[in-house]
Amino acid sequence: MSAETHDTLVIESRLDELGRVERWLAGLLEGWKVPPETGFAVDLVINEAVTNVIGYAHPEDMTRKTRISLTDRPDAVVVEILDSGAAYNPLEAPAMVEARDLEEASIGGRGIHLIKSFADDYSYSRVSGHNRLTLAIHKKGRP
Amino acid sequence: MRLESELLDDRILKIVLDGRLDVEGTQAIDMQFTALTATKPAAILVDMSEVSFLASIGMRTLLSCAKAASKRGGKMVLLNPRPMVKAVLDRSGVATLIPIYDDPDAATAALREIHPV
Repeated sequence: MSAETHDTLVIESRLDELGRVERWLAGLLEGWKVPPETGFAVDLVINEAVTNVIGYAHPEDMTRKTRISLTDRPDAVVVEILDSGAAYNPLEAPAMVEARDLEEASIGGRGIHLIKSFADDYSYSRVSGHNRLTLAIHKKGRP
Repeated sequence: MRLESELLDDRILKIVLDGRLDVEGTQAIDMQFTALTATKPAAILVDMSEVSFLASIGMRTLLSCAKAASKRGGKMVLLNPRPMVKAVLDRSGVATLIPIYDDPDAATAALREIHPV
């Protein structure tokens, strides 16, 4: 028996697809008995990365597909997000600037920072016309 | 996602959020939350204890309403976020912009200090 389990979901590039992502993810995390804190981080990085892909990678074409793959390893959960939009490496986005007060704070621009903060390993590659973002979250709270 | 609001006294509006502040959840409460926090009083206590998940889209709503309240001389504070929700607020820098309290009395005391314009 393999120590790894794997599952994939393909969605269209629309924000209302995120409800389907949530239900898919909740089922997997429960079935795999992923520790709650690890599950929260997986949930968060997927939300931020998919929202980002829908918003930036191909905002003009909602029929394009985004593929989300999840692998349960003994030590970590690995997320891979593959989209066919224009080449875009979110990890190279400008670093978040911490605002001193509410007045100068921007409303958005925190998603990529959260991905880098909650994923233990992250990498981007352009693979045959696709953006591939790979994020690993270690199972810190595992028994 | 559920939202309930209650006037604690003539100065402080308490809003209880319950559920996931992801894209779907935030869209469900955004208009109501924005409308509630745009009216007087500008002292707003947001009870986060039943919020099980928070993504950056949820923080956009919190920040935009906190900014608007601040511009009117008001203030928004957050009460009792769960540890992982607190971690999101901390690591995104939002915790330094919108004060977070674990104690309801300390939160309401902080809100009574403001002087709306």
